[in-house]
Amino acid sequence: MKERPSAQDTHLVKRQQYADRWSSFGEGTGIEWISDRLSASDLSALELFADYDERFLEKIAPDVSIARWRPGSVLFEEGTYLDLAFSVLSGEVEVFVSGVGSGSEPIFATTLAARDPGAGGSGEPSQLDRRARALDAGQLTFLSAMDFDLPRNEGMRLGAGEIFGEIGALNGWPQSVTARTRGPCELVQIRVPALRLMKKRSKELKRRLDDRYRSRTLSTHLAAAPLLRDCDPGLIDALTDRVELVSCEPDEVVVREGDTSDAFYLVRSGFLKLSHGADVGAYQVGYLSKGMTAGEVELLLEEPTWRWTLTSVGFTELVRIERADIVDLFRRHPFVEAGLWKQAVARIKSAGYHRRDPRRSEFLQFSLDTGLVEGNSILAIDLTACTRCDDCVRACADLHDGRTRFVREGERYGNLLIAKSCYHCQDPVCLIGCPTGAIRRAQVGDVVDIDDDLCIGCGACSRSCPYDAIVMHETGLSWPATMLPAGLRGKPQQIASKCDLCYTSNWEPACVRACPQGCAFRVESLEEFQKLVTGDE
Amino acid sequence: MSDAPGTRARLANPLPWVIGAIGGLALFAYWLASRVGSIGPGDPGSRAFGIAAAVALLASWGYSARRRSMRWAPGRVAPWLDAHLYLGVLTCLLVLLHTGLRMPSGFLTWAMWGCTLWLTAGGLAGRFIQLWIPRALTSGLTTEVLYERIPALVEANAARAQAIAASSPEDIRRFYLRRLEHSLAEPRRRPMFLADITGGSRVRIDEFRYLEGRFDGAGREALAELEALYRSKLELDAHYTLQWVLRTWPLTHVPVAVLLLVLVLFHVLSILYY
Repeated sequence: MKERPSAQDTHLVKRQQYADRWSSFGEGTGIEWISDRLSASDLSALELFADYDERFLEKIAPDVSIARWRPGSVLFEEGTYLDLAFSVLSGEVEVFVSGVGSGSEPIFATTLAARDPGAGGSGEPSQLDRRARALDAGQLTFLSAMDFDLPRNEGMRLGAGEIFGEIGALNGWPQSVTARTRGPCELVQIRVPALRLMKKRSKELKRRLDDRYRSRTLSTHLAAAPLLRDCDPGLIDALTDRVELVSCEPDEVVVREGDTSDAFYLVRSGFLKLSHGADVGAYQVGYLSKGMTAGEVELLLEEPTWRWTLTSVGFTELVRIERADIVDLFRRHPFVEAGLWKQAVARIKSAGYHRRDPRRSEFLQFSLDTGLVEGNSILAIDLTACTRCDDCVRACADLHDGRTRFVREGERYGNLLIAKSCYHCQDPVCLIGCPTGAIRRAQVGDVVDIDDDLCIGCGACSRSCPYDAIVMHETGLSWPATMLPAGLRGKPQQIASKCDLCYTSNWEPACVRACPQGCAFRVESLEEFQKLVTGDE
Repeated sequence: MSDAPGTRARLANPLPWVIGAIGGLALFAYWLASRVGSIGPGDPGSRAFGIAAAVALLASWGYSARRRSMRWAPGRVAPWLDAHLYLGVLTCLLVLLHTGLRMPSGFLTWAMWGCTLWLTAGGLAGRFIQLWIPRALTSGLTTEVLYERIPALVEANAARAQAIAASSPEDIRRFYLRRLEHSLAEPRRRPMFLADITGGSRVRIDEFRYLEGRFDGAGREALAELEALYRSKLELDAHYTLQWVLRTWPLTHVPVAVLLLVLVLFHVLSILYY
């Protein structure tokens, strides 16, 4: 029988696991010191956690740390994805847009330097430099709204008690500013799992975070929504005080068919599923993604109840606008109503199609379950023509140093195989939490790419990807003794790889080109997929 | 389901018409030449057809070269396979016209003629296989599996079945040992799958139906699980057989193609020399 580990062994393992979780931010970066695992009493002494009981604090403790940062350290850069929020305990943090300031190198470039001591003086541009150039050239685009509403080259200072970074972290958006310490700073660092639990548990925190979103970002976000784009800014500002911010868990029902319809919803992030019919026999009639709205049909046709049930597919953030406010908007801006009519007609038409053809509804459910709704480029293989020759896989390997970036396996729908190849999602969750920024948009279409030079093989992206599209490869080498994060020292070197649509070749992806039967192809939207599956135009 | 984009592009391909036109032209030219006099070895007409046949043969090798040039060649491979097929048929026609519709004489000409016929017939058969087997696999089976994974999946299935049988009532255990254990043990290729993609499963599954009536509760559940594993094994065997056919067919084609190329080269050199 296997010997049970002693309490001390367990404690040591837990400490190591905790250290590893934070080891991306190790010595040699801007961090002078980082706490060991905090106890519930340690956390309850901090104002931010004062409202929570001991048991809850024990639960979130592994995802919370306190770090002391050196002056001038870059916490994160504009355009990067983090899975962390920060709260200032002492000192000051400066946030700014598109500045290439002086001060120490950001953590990513420092990590790169730590991997290769020769790189710092090699004259190669740091990641900060590369991003700055991309920003200057207008090449860097953000996937969604800013979480700080700052003009370029202006900054803002955050002092004790301020929270920042949470909007991007919770919504999976890129950071819209660069954050840097002005002097020595002590910060509480909270990972997204803890943040979500805290927000759910504490109405006060939710109100505080929502107020911050309202004051910093919401008006920009509403003004950017297609429906409200041309509305009077004063009206938008007034609306921001009146809307409700709704956070939904996976599979949470937002409204049920038949419930009183008294509001209008705008999707901030995530997906909503529209379904019709009872729970057991319900069928899907549509979905809503970021920027889309729900409630226009009920509003315009003055229907007292919801036509459809709206259910959150993953974590979804919504803006809820009271009916009366929308009606007021119509009165002041008739074009908004005209725009909504178009959407309402399209929604009714789509629902009708799904209702008449069960294949469409079934396909929609499949798409939501497997993430096809997210995809910008999905590799599909027509199995009725595929001779299983694997020329597609071989071609991929040929173009990528002998390592294939996808597997000819995956979900099957009808005659189509959805291969395990990167979907190049609209909101790629794999970007969140990359400690070096190696995985990023390649600024070529929707391509999500991994920079081999920056990847440290931590596996965070591979674990995050819901579709098993990222594979970890052994390189045959080991990490040196000077490696950061420290937890990787001496360990076998791995590297993450995934489909990059062969964007560097300027040709079609090799998998599509190489297929001798012409049965491998890339589908770029759900509508395109729908046509293939149902044969409808 | 509508045609995939690749299939639609293929149907619009003008290549078969072009090659068909060339073939028609060749036949017309042969007919014209035969009105003037017979075509035989050494005749200018025969030589012309021979050169055309050699060119068509070399051109058909373009597909093989294109497959190996992913790094530097743009465009898709699929049209090259189509060209290979049509050029192959055209080569056979041109060889026929080159011989003046005479039987071969001598070992070399017999060998070349034999290889040409083998490649053409085999190529067409291969094309038929490539059209038929994927459709059979997709329409007749519920699973899709990589060929290399099949042995591991079969092993996992067998282990699971053994575990279920070990904890089942006596009758089920006996049924497993006599009727299932051997079938589940390893992947099998069986010609039967070429005729019936389900492997005659209906008859085999009837045995489970018979036994089902004799159990309830846990016994029925065990039997249901064994049936599911057995069905899965049948599908894996079907894949193992049919995907093997797809993989093995090129071994009957490519070596002979290389041989023909060598023989043709020898034939041309010997003509030039003599």
